[in-house]
Amino acid sequence: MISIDPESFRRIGELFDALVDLPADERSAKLHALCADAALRAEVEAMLHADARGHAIEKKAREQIEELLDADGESMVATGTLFGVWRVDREIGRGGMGVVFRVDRNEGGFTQRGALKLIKLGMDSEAVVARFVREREVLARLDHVGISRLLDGGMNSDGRPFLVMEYIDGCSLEEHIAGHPTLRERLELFGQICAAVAYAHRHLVIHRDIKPSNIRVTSDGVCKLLDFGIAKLLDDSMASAATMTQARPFTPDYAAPEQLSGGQIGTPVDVYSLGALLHEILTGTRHHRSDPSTKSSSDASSQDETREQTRRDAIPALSARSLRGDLDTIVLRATHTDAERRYASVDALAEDIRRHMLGQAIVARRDRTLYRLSRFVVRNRYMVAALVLVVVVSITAALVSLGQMRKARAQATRAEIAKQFLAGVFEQASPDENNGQPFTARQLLERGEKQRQQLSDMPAEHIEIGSLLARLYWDIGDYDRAQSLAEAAVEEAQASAVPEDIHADALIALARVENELRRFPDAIRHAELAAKLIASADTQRSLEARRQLVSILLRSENYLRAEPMLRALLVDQRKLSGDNSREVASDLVMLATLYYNNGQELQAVEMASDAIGILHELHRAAPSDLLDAQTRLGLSQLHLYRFVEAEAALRDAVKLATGIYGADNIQTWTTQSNVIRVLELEGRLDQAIAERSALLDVQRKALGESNPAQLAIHTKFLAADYRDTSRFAEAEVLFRESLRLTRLADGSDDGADSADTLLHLGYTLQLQGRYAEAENVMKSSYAIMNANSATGSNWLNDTRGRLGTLYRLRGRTAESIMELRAATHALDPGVDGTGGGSPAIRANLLASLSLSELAAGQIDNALASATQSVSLAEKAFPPGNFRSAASLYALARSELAGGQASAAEPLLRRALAARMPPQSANDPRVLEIEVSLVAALRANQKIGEAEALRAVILPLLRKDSNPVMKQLLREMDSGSHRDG
Amino acid sequence: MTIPILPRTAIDPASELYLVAYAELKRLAQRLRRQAHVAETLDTTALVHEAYLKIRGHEQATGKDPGYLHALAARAMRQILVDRARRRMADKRGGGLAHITLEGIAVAVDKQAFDLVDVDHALQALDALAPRLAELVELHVFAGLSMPEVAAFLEITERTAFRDWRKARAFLVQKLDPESTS
Repeated sequence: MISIDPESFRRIGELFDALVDLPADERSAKLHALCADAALRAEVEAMLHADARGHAIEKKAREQIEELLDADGESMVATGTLFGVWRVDREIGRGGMGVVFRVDRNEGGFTQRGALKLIKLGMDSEAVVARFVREREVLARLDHVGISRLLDGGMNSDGRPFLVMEYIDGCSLEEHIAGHPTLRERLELFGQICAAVAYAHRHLVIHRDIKPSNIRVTSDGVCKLLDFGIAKLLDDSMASAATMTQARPFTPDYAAPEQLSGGQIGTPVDVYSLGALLHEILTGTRHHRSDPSTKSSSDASSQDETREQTRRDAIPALSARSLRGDLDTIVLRATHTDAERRYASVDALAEDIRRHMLGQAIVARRDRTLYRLSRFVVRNRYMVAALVLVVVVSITAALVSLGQMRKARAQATRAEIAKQFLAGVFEQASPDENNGQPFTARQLLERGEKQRQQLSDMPAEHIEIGSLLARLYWDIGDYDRAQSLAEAAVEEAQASAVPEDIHADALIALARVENELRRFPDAIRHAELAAKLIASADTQRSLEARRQLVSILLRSENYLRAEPMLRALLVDQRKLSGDNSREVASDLVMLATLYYNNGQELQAVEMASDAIGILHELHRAAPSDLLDAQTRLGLSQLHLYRFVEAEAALRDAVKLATGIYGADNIQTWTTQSNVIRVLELEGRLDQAIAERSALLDVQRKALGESNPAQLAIHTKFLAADYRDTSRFAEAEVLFRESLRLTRLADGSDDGADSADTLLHLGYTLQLQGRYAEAENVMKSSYAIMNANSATGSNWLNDTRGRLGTLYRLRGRTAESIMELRAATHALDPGVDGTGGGSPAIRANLLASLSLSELAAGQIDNALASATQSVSLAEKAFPPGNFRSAASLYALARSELAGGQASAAEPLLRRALAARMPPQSANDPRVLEIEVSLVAALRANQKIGEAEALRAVILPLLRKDSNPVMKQLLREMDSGSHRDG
Repeated sequence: MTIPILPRTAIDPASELYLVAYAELKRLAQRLRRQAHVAETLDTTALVHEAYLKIRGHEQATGKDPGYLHALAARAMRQILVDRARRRMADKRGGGLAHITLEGIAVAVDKQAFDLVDVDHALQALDALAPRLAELVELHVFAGLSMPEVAAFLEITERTAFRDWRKARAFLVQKLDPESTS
């Protein structure tokens, strides 16, 4: 857009107003008539064009606003924040009472994990705190397999109380039920919950807030109750804090009437909640309390009402029939409005469930003859069933086949129509029709859309083809078209009575596009709806819907929710298609991705290898599946520093990608870049440079300036390789080129990508001794990052630390130590060295800090920092990797300063071997080690070797008269680093 | 001439009234969030109106017309939303996806089409050209007021409001998503 002033904008606005309501084909002529200025006309045309997309963008903006309002702006707690000894890993949930984080603490070398609940209520009075502490001790004594233990509690710095519970790795009760367990499984689950509550009651602790979200199920099927007694703690505290009375620490749907009315609270409260919970476990719907107005009259009529309600609410997951009878009665008895008439204890409730499962008469209605008879039938069900079977089979067989036939015929008709449809598209698509050129995929799809119009009076087929076209448009990357087709298909399916599988297909197609467009809430909603629609129908289809849902959760980084669903999916998929199917392989790849993103590379390797094994077994494995699996395997191996395996897998991926996408394709280039990444991490930089330059050339030719973001990244990679092989001038040119490309892509210089490149550039300048320039560049990088990153960000603190190093080089030692300490501190919980930021970055920060402390004469501090740095580097880098040299060098310098030259010498030799190659003999990073080595050799009385080395490096140091070299010369000639 | 370029009563983001509106909105948004099981969907209209009621009683609000106070609340709402969008972006960046760190492994860039921060930038550009249009967008999009309400506040006819809105929207779309020639 050219730059315009208010006056010409006013003029543009007038023209826009005059034209916008005209039909599109009349606008141009009218515009020419009204305005002679071509530049102005172009602006008006651009705005008219933009007008067409106004709705879509407006909608997107509104969605974002909704989403942002939904996100709690208040409690952004950064990873790494400490609550007492607990370190925040990440947020895992939030509810009415507060935010829950996954936290860790390190003690005696092992890590304990917890779920930390940060309470959102003001509790400042000392008495409240004292009671809080007392109650906490009672709760901490509860020790039962079904109860998540209270581990710790306290106040954070702004006086907000927090509790730490045992962390339960599993899924919520709701998710568990969504997996459609059998009635027996449901009842067993409920029995477990009862046992835990009964145990607590024996220890005089009432839960007060039993509800599905307070129950988790582990992968072994063990139920765990969360938040035991927390409600009481909060209730007591709030009674003191008079202002908070409007919020109650329980959930009304599960709360007993006496809780709502402020009556006596005892164990019957939990019995009530358990009854409501039982209802939900059985039917999947919430228990409805009877009308409050009839609450006092706990007579038969109100009970009948509730019973009817219960029946009406039963959802297909379990038929109303299995609820009717015993279970219905048990729920009613447990949720009786009159606490006296509920089960006397949780044990009594559990006993009735047990009796029901055994087919014995339940206590709740012991005295009804007919009822007894019906139990007889159940107990002897096989005999009774055998009698009934003959009759039933013949009837249902007739019904089933009739229904199936109708369905099969409908499907056959649809298939026939689809075939004709495709034939129609291709028949007309001969090259003669297109000036002798073969048709592109897009042209074929456009023809398909035209053809589809003929189906408008056949809704099922119209929708089905619509979903298909949406999917195909998605395949060729036209998401806008895919979206509008899928949206229309879904709307049409909602409006007309079409088979559920067709409706679900449309929803899945839509969810797929929304996933691609990162509109996750919508995508999840639509995929869930699809899964629900066909949960009981065609099984492979319903698994597809669940698979789509999982892939959305993965892409939106919701790993916690994705994992149990994915595992359940894998189990069901294996049941359906056996272990060796394409679907199982694809699920394994998703699982590998999940593990990889969670930092569990070993598991990722295992899953990806399994997937590859299956795909090789299959006759017609899709190469794209294999590509995914190989890439995931390779990157996981790379993270484990298994370079040989990583390279092999990633090179296979390149071959596969070339086969699928051709050589000139972004996907293929990405796989090539992955292989080069192996070389880079391995330190084979010369080869990396050769391959990267070639790759960059190919991309430059193919992309021109059409995808500057892609070119910017690859240019930056190459530049970093140049810098790490001491080719500073080339590195600088490329970093600046990358900045230019980023500016082209972002339209500005203050984005995240620019900040990172600036940091790289600054470091390059520093290595050349251009300190003032380096400081400028790094400071602007830091400013951008500071505005955009959390305080615990690796990236932010890496930058800060590098700025600190620069200060040291410029002689500002105090300032340098301050920055480096702050950066180190931000990434380090300071307990025993595990956890915190990335070990690689922390190793670097500590090495730099050590050198600064040395410059300030703090030898003990320097030694401690360097020792820690070396141990982190061992974790972060493969042995002998050039990146570990900084730590070794820092430790050697500290040893040397402490008079331990004999310890320093081997460290310096290791550091030197690590740095050269890839770095060359005249690189300051090599020379600094050699200068120290001269000093160490002298101190160790190896004068001959020392002088020989000195003679070699002296001319190199004198060649460049920049501050780096001058400083090193001074150090060498002073013969000691002590006062450097 | 349909865009009256009138001098707007300036909204000073440092004024006490503005700060009160900002704090009130933030508090309301958080409170509503805590009660999310009660109010399934939050909308900005209700929030802005509540904030308006709150600042109306403030001593500095005496003599100010409702249109101005609503505009003030709308501006505060916009700032809250944009702040949140920015912070959320920062959190995502904290994951460090969009760059190579000096020691890390690179991951591909994954960009959303646009976010509220971009909308804010585009709106600033519009403000420089036609402040009245920018105010209209603020009221309609960020404060969630309907077109008739917007028209009433700006003392223009509904028809003009609609036209201006369409114009402003086209301008913003073009700023946000310049690939309009496809």
